[in-house]
Amino acid sequence: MTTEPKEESKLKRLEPFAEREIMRCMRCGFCRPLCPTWGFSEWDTGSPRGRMMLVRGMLQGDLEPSEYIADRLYLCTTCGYCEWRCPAGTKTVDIIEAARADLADLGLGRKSHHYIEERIREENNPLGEAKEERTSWASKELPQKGDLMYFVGCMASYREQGTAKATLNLIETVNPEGGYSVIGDELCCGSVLLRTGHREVAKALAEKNAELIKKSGAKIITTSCAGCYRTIRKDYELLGIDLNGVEILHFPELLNRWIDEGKLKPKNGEKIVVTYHDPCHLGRHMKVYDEPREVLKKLGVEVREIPLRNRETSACCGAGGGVRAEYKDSALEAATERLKQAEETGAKILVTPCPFCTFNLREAAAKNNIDMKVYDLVELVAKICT
Amino acid sequence: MKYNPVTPKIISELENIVGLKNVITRPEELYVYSRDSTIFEHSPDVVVIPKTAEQVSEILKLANREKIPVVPRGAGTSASGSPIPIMGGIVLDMSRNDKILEIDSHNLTVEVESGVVCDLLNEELAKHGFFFPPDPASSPACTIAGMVANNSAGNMAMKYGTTRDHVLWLEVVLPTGEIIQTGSTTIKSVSQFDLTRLMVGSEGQLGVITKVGLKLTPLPEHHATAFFIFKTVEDAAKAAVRVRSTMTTIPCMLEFLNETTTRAAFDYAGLEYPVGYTIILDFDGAKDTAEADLEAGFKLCEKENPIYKEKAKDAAHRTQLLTARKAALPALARLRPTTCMEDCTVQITKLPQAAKAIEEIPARLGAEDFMDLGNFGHIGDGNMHPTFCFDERIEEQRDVFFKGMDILYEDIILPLGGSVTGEHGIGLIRAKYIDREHGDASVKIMRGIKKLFDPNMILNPGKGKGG
Repeated sequence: MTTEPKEESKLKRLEPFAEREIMRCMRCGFCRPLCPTWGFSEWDTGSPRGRMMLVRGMLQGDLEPSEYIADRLYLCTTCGYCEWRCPAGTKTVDIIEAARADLADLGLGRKSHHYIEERIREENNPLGEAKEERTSWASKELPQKGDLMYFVGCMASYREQGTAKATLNLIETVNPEGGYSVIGDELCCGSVLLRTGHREVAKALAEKNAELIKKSGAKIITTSCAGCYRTIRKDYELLGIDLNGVEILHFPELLNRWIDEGKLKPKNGEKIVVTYHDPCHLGRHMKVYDEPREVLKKLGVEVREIPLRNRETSACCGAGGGVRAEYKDSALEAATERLKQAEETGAKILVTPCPFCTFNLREAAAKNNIDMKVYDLVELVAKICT
Repeated sequence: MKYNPVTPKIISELENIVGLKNVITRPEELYVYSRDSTIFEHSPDVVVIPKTAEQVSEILKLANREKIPVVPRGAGTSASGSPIPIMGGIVLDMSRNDKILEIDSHNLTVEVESGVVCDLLNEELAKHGFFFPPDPASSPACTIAGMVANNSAGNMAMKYGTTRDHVLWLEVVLPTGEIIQTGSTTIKSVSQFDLTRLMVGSEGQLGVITKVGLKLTPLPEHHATAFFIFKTVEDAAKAAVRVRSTMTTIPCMLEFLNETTTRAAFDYAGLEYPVGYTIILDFDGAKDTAEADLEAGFKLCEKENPIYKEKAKDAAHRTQLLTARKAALPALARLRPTTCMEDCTVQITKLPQAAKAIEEIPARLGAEDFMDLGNFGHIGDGNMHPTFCFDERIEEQRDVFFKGMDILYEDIILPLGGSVTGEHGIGLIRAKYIDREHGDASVKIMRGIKKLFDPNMILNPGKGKGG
C-alpha cells in the first residue's frame, strides 16, 4: 500500500485530502444506518463509509477511477448527515465534491449533469426554461434596485412559483413603500454545478451574480431556497467572490426578524398543525434550525417534530447533490421514506423552507398516495399573514 | 488448509441460489469488503447477500463441497479483523436482513433478523417501554448478529451483563448446511447442551446466525449521571475501584477515558472542561433511588481528589457525555491517521496498576514522537481499550505498533491474570496470545469443537479461537 500520489495525478482536487483527511475515516460505520442512500443500496459502497473507501482506494492507487465508482459517488445527495455524525471529523461532503470534480474532468461525470451545465450556459438555469421567462411568475414589473434583494433561485422561478409569489407578497406587505429588488437577469446560483463537480462554470455564474448584486445596491440579500442560501453565503466566499459585506439571510431568518419587530402578524386565528422538514443545505450545512421553527410558532402554528429524525438527524428529501436529475427513482424513494417518518407525527401538513425539497416531497406524496400536503414554509406564512 | 478458488462456475451457482443482483465480483466492491476497522486487509473473491437461512444453507453446502472459505459479515465494525476474508473466498453480507420480526411485550421477547442495527432496535423497543441493554460503542452501526458473534458488551455490562445474557435462541446455519435452532423461546430450558452460549462469541467460526431471539428488559425510570476529571490515571482508576468495592448497588455505567481520549472525544461532543482522566458514573432505576446512589458514588469519587466534578444537569447533558464516551474510538482518529483499538480485561483491583502501565507504553517503545495512546473503556468491569494512534502507511510505525501489542498483552495483561479480550473477540489480531492465556489443553478442546462443527474448516478460517 502506498500513499504517494501517482505521477501526473488524475485526481488534482482530491490530492489535498490524501495525506490526512481521507485517513480520518476509520470505518466505524456510524454514518451508515441513517444515510439516505444506504436505505436502498445493496452493497457497502452505497454508504458514506464505502464511498470514503473508494476515494481512498483511488488516492492510494489501489483502484482506478471508473464508471462504477462515479456511479457510487454521484448517488450521494451530499446531505451532510455522515459529516455531522463522523466523530473523526471526516469532511465527507468536501471529499465527495472534490472527487466528482476530478471524475467529471476524466469524462466520468453524469450525462444529466452535463445537460444541466449546457442548459445553464444557454438559459442561465438548469431546467432548460427560457431565461426571458424567469420572472413570469410576477404579475407586474419588478424593481431592480433597493436595499433588500430577493434572490429567487431557479426552482422558485420556474417550478415552485408559489414560493416566489408568496415571498414577494410578504416582502411587499412589510415594505409597502418599496426598497427591494428582484433581478430579472438573475442567474442560477451555481449550487447544482458545485455539488456535481462542474466548478468552473459555477464560478463564472457566481461572478456574474455578484455583479448584479452590487448593481442592485442591496445591503441584504434574501433567498427562499436552501440551496441558493448555502451557495451564496458559503460557497461564494470559498470561490473568492467578494460581495462587499452584504448580509445574506435565508428568508425565514428575515421573517423571524420582521415578526419580532412587529412588522408581520397573523391575520386569522386558524389552528394549523404541521410537521417540519429540515432542508439539508439549511440545517446541517448552515446550522439554521431554529428560525423557521420560531416563525411558525410565533404565528401560532403547532409544529410537531418528526421523532428522532429532526434537526441534525433529519433525513434528506433525496433530491439534492444532483441526485434527482440523474437518479430520480432514488430521489423519490428517499422522499417517500421521509414522508413515512413525517406521518408518525399525525400532522397532515409538512412544511419546509426549500422549493427543491417541496418539489420532490410533493411528487413522492402524490406518486405513493401519501396523505400529506407539502408546502413551502413561505407559502404557509403568506397564507397566515397576508 | 488448502482452499479452492472461486471459479466462474461457482459464481454462477451462487447467482442461481441468491439471484444475479445479490452476487458481486466488482473489484471496487471487493476492495470495500476487504477491511474492517483494523489495519488488516484482504480481498474476498465474491460478496453475496443471502436473504434467507435456506439460501445461506445452499451457499454453505456449495462452499463445503468445493472447499471454499466463507466469511459472514455484519456491519463490518469489528475491531479484531474478524470479518476480513484473509483466505479470500465468499463474504456473506448479512446486514441487509434487517427486519424486526416480532416484539412480544407479553412474553418479553423480540425476534430479529441478523442485520438489525443495535441502536435502531432500541429506538423501536423504546416505543414499547423496553430496551436491549448490551451497549457497545459501535451501537449506532453494529448488527445484532454481529454482537452475538462477538458477545458484545459495552457500557452497561457491569449491571446488565453481556449479549450472551440476553439471547434466548438462535437460528444458525452450520458450515455443512444444516439449519438449527438453539435454545428455546421459553425463559428457562436445560434440555440441550448450551449451544446458544457456544454460538455466542464464536466469531463466525461455528455457524452463520440468521435469526436471533432476545429477552426484553424494561427501560429504567431514571438515570442519574455524573462525571469526574482526575489529574492522574491512578486516581481515576482508584475512584472506580472504590465505587465498585464499596457500594452495594451496581452502577449502570462506570466508564473511563484517559487524557488523550478525553481531549478528542470532548472536542467532538462540544464539551468544554479541564482535560484529564475522566470517569463517567451512572445509576439507573427509580428516580429517588438512582439519585441517592449517585450521591453516594459521587462522595466516593471525591475522595480521590478530582480536578473537576459535576452531575449531569439534564438529559441533554447526559446525552452529550455519553456521546463523547461512545465516540471515543473514532474521535481519536482526529489525532493521527490510524487508530488501532485493543481490548483487555483485568480484575478491578488490578486496574490502577494496569492502567498506569498502559499509559507508559509509548515511552517504553520510544514512540512518543509519532504515537499517541488513547485508552478508554468499561473500567467498572475491568475492561479497557488501549488504542494506538499512528500512521499505518509508515512501516516503522506499524512495527512499533505490533511491539506495543506484545507489551500490552504479554507484559501487562497476562502477568496480571487478565484476559486478552473482553468483548471484541480474538479475530485476526489476538490469536497469538490465547495459548498463553488458556493453555494447550483448552486450545486443543476449542480446535476440536471447531472441527466438529466445520470439518472442512471453511467458515471464517485462519482466526479466532478455533482457527
